[in-house]
Amino acid sequence: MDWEEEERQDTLVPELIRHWTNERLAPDILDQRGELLQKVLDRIREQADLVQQLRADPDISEDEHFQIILVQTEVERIRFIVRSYIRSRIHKIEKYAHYILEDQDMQRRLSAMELNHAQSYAALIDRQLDVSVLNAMPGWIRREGPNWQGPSTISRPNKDTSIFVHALQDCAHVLLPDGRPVDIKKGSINLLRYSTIENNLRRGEVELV
Amino acid sequence: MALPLTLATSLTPAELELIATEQLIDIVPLFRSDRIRLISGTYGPFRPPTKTRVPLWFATNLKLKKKCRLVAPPWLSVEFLQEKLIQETSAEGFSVLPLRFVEIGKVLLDVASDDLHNSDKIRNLLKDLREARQAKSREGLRKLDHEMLELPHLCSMEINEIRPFFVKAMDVMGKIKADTIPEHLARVSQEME
Repeated sequence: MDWEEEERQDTLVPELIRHWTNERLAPDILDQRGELLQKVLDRIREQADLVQQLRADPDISEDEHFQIILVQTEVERIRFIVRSYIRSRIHKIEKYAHYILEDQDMQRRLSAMELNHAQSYAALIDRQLDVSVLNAMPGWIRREGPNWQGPSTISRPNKDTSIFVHALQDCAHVLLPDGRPVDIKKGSINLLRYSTIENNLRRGEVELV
Repeated sequence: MALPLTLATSLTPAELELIATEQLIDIVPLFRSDRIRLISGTYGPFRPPTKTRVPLWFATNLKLKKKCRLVAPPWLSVEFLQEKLIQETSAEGFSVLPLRFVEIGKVLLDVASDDLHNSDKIRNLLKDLREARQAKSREGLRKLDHEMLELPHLCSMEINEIRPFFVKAMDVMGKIKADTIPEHLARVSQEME
C-alpha cells in the first residue's frame, strides 16, 4: 500500500512547509522564496483583518468566538514557520558572511535585504576583530595579504555533509561523488551527500526529510 | 538562531509534530457552523452528524473543547498494526507505514484515546513497532557507505532520531576514504612487492 500524503487543493501551506524543512536541513543557503513569503504574509494580514471584523461584530455568538481562536491558532502556526525559516537563513548568512561577499552564486540566492545584512555583518565582525585583537598584533599578521599562500581563512558551506533525501519524482542518472550514476526512484528515502542532489533539490525533484 | 548548534541542521520532535498535524483527518462535529476560511484552505460547513475533513491541529483543538469526535485513520487500528508488527519481526527491511505515523499516533492517543477502539492495545503495538524498527536501523548501520545509503520506508521521526549519528558516521567514512594512499604511491608500493 502506498502512503502518499494527501494532496491539498491549495498548496501554499504545504509549499511553505517544504521550503522551511529544506532550508533547515540543508548545509547551504537555498534560493530565496520572496514570492511565496509575500503571499503567505498577505494571507496572514487578511486573516488578521477577518479577526478584527469578527471581534467588532456585536452579535457575536459562541460559535463565532471559537472560530476566532481557530483562525488565530493557524496564524500563530504559520508565523512560527515563517520566523523559523528566516532565522535559519540568517544563521547561515552570518556564518558564511565573508564567503557570500566573494561568491556570486550565493549572492544570487539572497534577497536584497539579506545581502545587505551579510555586508554589514561582515563589516561588523571585521571591525570587532580589529578593535579587540588585531590592532594589538604586529602588522604582517593582521590580514591575508595578496601573497597569502596558505588555506583560506573564510568558512564556506560544507556541501559534503550527508542529508536524508525523499524523492518526489524519479531522478535518473544522479552522479555519486566517485562518478557512479544511480537512478533514484520516486518515493524512496536515501542518505546522500548534499553535493550529490544539490541540483535536484533546486529543481524541486527531491525534498529533505 | 535560538536553537543550539547541534540542532541547527535538524528538526525538533515538536516541529515534526507541527508538520504532521497539518495533515487531514475526518471528524464528526458536535456543533453547527458555516464554512471557516483559513490560510491553508476552507473547511466545513459543519453539520452533525456528517463527517468533515479538517487538518489534525484543527481537530485536536476542537476535541479539547469537546466540540467533535475524531475518526481514526484506517492505519491506526489493532488489526492493521498487528499485521505490520508480524511483517516487521519476520522480514528484513522496513514495513510500509505512513511517513508520520509516530507523530500522528502520539497526537491521537494523547487527545482522542476515547475515540480509538482498544487504545491501550494500539499504544503497545506502536511501541513494539518502534522498537523493532529501531533495532533494524541499528543493523542498517552496517551497510553504511561513504556516499549513499538506501532506507526504504523509514519514517520521519525515526530519520530524525538516527540523523546525528548517521550523518557524522558518513562524514567520517568519507574522510577515511579520502585519506587512502594516492594512486601513484599505491602503484609504487605494489611494484616494490
